[in-house]
Amino acid sequence: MTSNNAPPLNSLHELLLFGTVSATRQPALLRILAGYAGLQPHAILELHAYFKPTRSPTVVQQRGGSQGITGLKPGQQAQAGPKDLYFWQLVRNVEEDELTDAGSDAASSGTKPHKWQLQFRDTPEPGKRSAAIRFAVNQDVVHGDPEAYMQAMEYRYQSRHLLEGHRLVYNNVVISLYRAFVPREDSATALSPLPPRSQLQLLDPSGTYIVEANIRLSDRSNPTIINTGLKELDRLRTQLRDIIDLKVPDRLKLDTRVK
Amino acid sequence: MSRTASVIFFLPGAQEATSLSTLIERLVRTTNGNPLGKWGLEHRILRSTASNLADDKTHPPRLHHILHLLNWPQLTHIVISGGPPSPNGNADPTQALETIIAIPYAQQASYIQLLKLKMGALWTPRTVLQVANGSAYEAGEITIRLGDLRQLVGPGAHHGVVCFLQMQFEVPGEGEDGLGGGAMEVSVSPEAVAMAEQSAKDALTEFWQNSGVGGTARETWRFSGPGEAENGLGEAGLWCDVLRLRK
Repeated sequence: MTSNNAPPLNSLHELLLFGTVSATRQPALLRILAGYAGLQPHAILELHAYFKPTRSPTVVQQRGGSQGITGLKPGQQAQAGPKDLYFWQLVRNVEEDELTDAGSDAASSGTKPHKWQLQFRDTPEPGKRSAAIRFAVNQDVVHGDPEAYMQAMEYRYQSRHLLEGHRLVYNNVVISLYRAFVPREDSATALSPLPPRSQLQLLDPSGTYIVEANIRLSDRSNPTIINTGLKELDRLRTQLRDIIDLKVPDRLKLDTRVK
Repeated sequence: MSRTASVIFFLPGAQEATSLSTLIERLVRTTNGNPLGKWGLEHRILRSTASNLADDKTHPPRLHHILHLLNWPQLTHIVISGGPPSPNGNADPTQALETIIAIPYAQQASYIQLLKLKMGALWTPRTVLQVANGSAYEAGEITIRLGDLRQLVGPGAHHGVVCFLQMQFEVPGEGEDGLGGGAMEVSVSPEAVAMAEQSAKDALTEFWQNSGVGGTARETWRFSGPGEAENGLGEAGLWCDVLRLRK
């Protein structure tokens, strides 16, 4: 067992376009996308719990060569800095019956093991492209307590919301249409039972759906792969231009760094 | 319901292949061990960075282990030992805090990349250790895994020989009540558990002494409760206790 037998690196970058569609036009868009894909959309109901680091990053500012060096002990190297800290998410699928009054009570009385996934999303890279590109990693937690893991990593729970919508795959593009719901009263922990639907409210009261078009890249360093992905997103944008305007998102609105 | 007793004997600084082959020969000869095939592990350790909080200086650094055991081929175990300081500062410094999860082995490389590229403010990589050409055997109720422990980069590449022994045992009276096939579990006293653990420990110790290995071995023990050994979390924790070496 050597490093040569290590599993290949999963694709760690994705190309993104975003758009919005009103609640009244969402069914029509979904039908059109299903027609293009030749598949029925898959319903999604996901819980996203956000975690924030408990401490500030260690920052070592280099204020010029001589000042930096004289402050160091022999053999000690100057550290590079500053280093960012990021928000993380724990995500899991939700069963519809968890959002009923009975389901919520049942969850309160027992602990049903759920399959969680750690999701890391970086701020999109700067630069002019026809789609945003960002570093993104998903880690399935197969065994163990994911919330205890986050605490051990010095992260504390911040908030959570429910994403409800549909997802389908069209060639290499994963297209998601979703809205976010938040509990009227927030819970103390990420793993607390979910409140029933009557206790959830839309994050955007207008009911507008987010449309996300996403391509995972197998190799960020390969320009051919990136260009192929960009062209595929361009084709999708052109096909849907009469229905929805898919755009490059403002990268700072997707900034996951801790300020 | 079975519990598990595990021990790792670490012979530091043992001379490479000679010791390992000698150890294997003696073990197989004296115990009539049946070979189970190749075995190995890969272990990475990271250390928490210093915080700019003044009170964090009273807490030792935490260790972040990434461990792949070949006997759990589909899993990579993540062990974080030390734990964060409690918000009110009343954490018991004598209590070893440990959090263990398992992720798919197929996602190990991306996890390592994530720590390296985006978690540098919290974690600093330290060493990478490996058992590359180890072996596994079975002798009666005891499972044996052993191999040369090497550091993948840097000086002092060969650390020694590690030998893992594991057996299952039961605490008398623990489990189903046996009355008409009911599902009610019978709990047992801590004293009964301690006695059963001691018996298992004596059995493994006797096995090791009869193996004729000799030399001075550091031993680290762990006992897992009913059903806890099913996903390798306890075994991973034991390996990380040993592989932290000089911390």
